[in-house]
Amino acid sequence: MLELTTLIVAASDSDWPGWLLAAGPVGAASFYWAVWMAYRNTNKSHSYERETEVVVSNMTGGDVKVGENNGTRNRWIQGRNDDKPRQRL
Amino acid sequence: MLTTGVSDIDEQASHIVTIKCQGCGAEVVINTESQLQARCHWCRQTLSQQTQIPNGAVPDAVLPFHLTHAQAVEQVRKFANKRRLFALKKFKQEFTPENVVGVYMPYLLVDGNAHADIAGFGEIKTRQYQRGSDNNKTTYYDADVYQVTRSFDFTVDDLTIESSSARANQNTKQNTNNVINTILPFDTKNAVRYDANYMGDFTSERRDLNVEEVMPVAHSQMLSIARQKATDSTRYDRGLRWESEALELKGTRWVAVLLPVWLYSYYEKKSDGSAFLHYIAVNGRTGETMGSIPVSVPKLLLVALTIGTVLEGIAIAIVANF
Repeated sequence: MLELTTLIVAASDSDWPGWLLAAGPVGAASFYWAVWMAYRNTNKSHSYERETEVVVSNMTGGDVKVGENNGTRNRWIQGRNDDKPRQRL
Repeated sequence: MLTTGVSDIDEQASHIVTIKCQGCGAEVVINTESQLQARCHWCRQTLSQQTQIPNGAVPDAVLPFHLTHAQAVEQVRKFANKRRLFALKKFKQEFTPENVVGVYMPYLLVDGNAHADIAGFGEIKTRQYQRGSDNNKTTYYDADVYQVTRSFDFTVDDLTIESSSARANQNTKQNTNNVINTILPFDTKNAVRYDANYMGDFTSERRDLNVEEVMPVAHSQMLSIARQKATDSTRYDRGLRWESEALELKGTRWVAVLLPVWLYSYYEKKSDGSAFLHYIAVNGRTGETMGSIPVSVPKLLLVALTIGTVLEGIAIAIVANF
């Protein structure tokens, strides 16, 4: 365990593939989680947002450019929630 | 608008009785004409006529079973067989898919007519580039920001909502009701006017939630549908951040319906003395199956730790030789 700690401390040097040491804990946790979900299915529910019969009419609205967000390191817009329709605003 | 589902019991339904299960407290509805000895569909306890309680309202409609008992047994068997390795040993030993029972579950179907206003911001990528040295590159993005608004009318057809309070509780830490929810939707268009004769050998569950009580659920689900429709009408490759949403319900129409579910249940008695009920549910029309299989935690933990140890061994070997 001590060896592991020194290795992790040394891992802060760049170029050195210290992040590989996370493979054990991450692999074990991912496996546990994947099996648990496959058996218990606690994350499943009816996707009524997509599977309900809905007819939309009189769609209006606007898409107005209001600015730029340049030089960001984020892949997605900050606070992205278009993939979480059940989360109330 | 309300339909006839809130009316009193009629004569046709006089041999339908509701019994409170002494095992788990569920309120089970049975047909005394075809069932003299009935079991609770949740915990399989034999029901006693002594604990009869008043029937609830007669439902408007019923969707008859299409899948046979044999087909349901096959579905349950298939579902469990795919999940044998880490299943609790006791569950595997006691596994009897033939015990699957047909239950008419109470739901409220709602048709809604609404108007939605959704607004927020979306971003479109204009440039992507990398900075830094060869080994330490970072990706940067440039994007245009748009203010997005959507306003539209929509109608919802047969949104299906649990109308038994016990089943409406979808807390996955306490129960596995979510698996019964997952086998929705049903072909509710084929539902027929309720007739007690459809009950046959099947049991049913009493509806104990009224329209006012499930209205918040219906409202929230319609708002979620509106959000999804608003998102579907846009194209922002860096996604959207919706910031406001409003729903104006212009009208709703409710129908109380019984929907057919094949149910296999297993009581897991935990080491601390508590019990946890697992279900495997099969949609009585489409055959869609979902369930919860009790997991042998020590076994899963052992395998997960073994995998972790092997991965860590490889990682340490690579790092040490670097």
